[in-house]
Amino acid sequence: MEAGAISSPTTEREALHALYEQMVRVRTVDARLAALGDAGRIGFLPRTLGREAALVGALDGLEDGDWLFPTHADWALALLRGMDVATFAHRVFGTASDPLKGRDIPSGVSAKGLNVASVSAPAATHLPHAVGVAWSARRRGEDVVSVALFDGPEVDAADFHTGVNFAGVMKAPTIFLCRVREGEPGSAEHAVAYGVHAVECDGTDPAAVSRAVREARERALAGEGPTLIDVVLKGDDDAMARVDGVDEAGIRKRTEESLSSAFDAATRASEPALGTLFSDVYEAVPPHLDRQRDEIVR
Amino acid sequence: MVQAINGALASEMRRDDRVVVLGEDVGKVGGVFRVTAGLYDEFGEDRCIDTPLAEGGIIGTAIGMALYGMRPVPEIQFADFIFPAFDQIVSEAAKMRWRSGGEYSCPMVIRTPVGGGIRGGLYHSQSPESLFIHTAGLKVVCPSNPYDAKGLLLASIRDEDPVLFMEPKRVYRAVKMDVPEDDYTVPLGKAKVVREGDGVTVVSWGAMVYEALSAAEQVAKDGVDCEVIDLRTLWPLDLDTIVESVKKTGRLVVVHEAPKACGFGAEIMQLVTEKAFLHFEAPPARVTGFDTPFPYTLENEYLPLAHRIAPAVMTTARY
Repeated sequence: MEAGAISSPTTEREALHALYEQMVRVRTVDARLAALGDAGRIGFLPRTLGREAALVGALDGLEDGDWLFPTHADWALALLRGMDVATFAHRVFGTASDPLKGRDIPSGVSAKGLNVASVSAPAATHLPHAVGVAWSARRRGEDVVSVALFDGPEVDAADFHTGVNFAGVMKAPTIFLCRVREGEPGSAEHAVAYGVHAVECDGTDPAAVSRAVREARERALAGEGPTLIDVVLKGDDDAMARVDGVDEAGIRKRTEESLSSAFDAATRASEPALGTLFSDVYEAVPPHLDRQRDEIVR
Repeated sequence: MVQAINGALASEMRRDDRVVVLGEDVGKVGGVFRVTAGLYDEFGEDRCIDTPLAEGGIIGTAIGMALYGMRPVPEIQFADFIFPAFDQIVSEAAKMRWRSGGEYSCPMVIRTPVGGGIRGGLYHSQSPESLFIHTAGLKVVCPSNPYDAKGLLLASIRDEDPVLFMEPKRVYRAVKMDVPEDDYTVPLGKAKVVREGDGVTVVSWGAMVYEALSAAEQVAKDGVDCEVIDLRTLWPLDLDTIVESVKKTGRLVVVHEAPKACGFGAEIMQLVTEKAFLHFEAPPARVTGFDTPFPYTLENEYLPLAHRIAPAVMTTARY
């Protein structure tokens, strides 16, 4: 094994391989999107590189009914949850077939059918949303947890503290998954103040993240309240986690091929119709937006 | 009005178990104005929730509830304290439907007392409606009387969009009227002509409707016949009702408590001007709060009360 390799018992090897294959897929998509961004062919897109073990591991520790509250850097969650590549490509290029109708930057995924919440950019505002969802699920007696993903710097934002405090007070079945750079302060030190359970795990090891998330999920559904997980990201691209025995080249090739055809189709697609500017502001288009639509739609 | 809102909340919570009330001291205490009194006892701590003192958390948590299919009715204790939640309202609730391509929505009613006249000083008296009207995706409602308060609140809770429901606290206990026990709604987006006349159109909402009516009686003695319009829903605006009135009177005065600069009065005037410019026989006028913070001692000079409205109406009538 090379530097940064993940060791695991033989019995878990197969599962780890499956997780790692997904990580390679995410890395491949990330590199392709970055190239498109560098070439100026798509708009601003935060890279997900370095987070892939956390994303893949977190999903592995969850069930499909659990709600995800990502940041703009966590677009891969939608793909991992099952968004097809063609739809993703239309999202990235903001075409007429983009489910978001060209309204957000390429990484602003939102997929209700996959329980992936709509993304916003202000820091940590999604944490209280996760609390509201989790509280509602518990009130309905459903075995559903919510997961808010965020990054270390967001611990400074007001809504981190508000969200975690509300979760603690309301005993919401919520998991706060904070990606922390090694050596930087995490979120866990705030846990005591808010009466929230906290753990730390290796953010380069999807199996470790999966275990931490699964345990937090079980605690939450047992009525023991929320958990803060500091997922520690180590090093940079060069020290990225690798798993032996996985056909990386093959995964990359297949991923590249499916991306190429999907992106080609998206680049040929038309833009969203002008009228879509005015839909979805409200459930029904009110008179003042009707008038404004008439100014540009002929 | 307190009873009407309280009764509407209780009846809607009985009718629809998705409806949840949350806020600071809304539970055991029943709210500082007693608007949620009795709800905790009847519906329990799971549907009438005392929250930590953090407005951003109240609205943020309510947004999550709405995403999951609940009908949250969060209370912000005074509109003056809504600003910690401004990000959640403006960046999140208002944009949720649009940014998700229509997949997600945020049906919720943010109740908050607004306006002056209770000797509340600069932090218990403000009227911040313009900031929210300026934000695409929100509806803004402000009833002036108990009947409308009940009907508009029920319509707001049943609406699919986020509604800012501004309750004029000066009217909470000052105005009494019989309110039907049965279920009824007052449609959003429909203004009401509360006094017919053909001399000057006076547009207002909330507590200032009574001042506009009082001023109308004063100027009637001088032969000026006002038509007074109570907007009820500020946004989306019922422009047609105002334009129709101005085409009849040729004169327009808008009255609001909020400061004048970028106040909603300016928007109303421009919208009416675009539709009825050739009908104007006088420059439209505004009677508003001043572009200062809201005062404690001099609040009756700051507020656009009848003694300030009547001269503006006369000036407009005699232009």
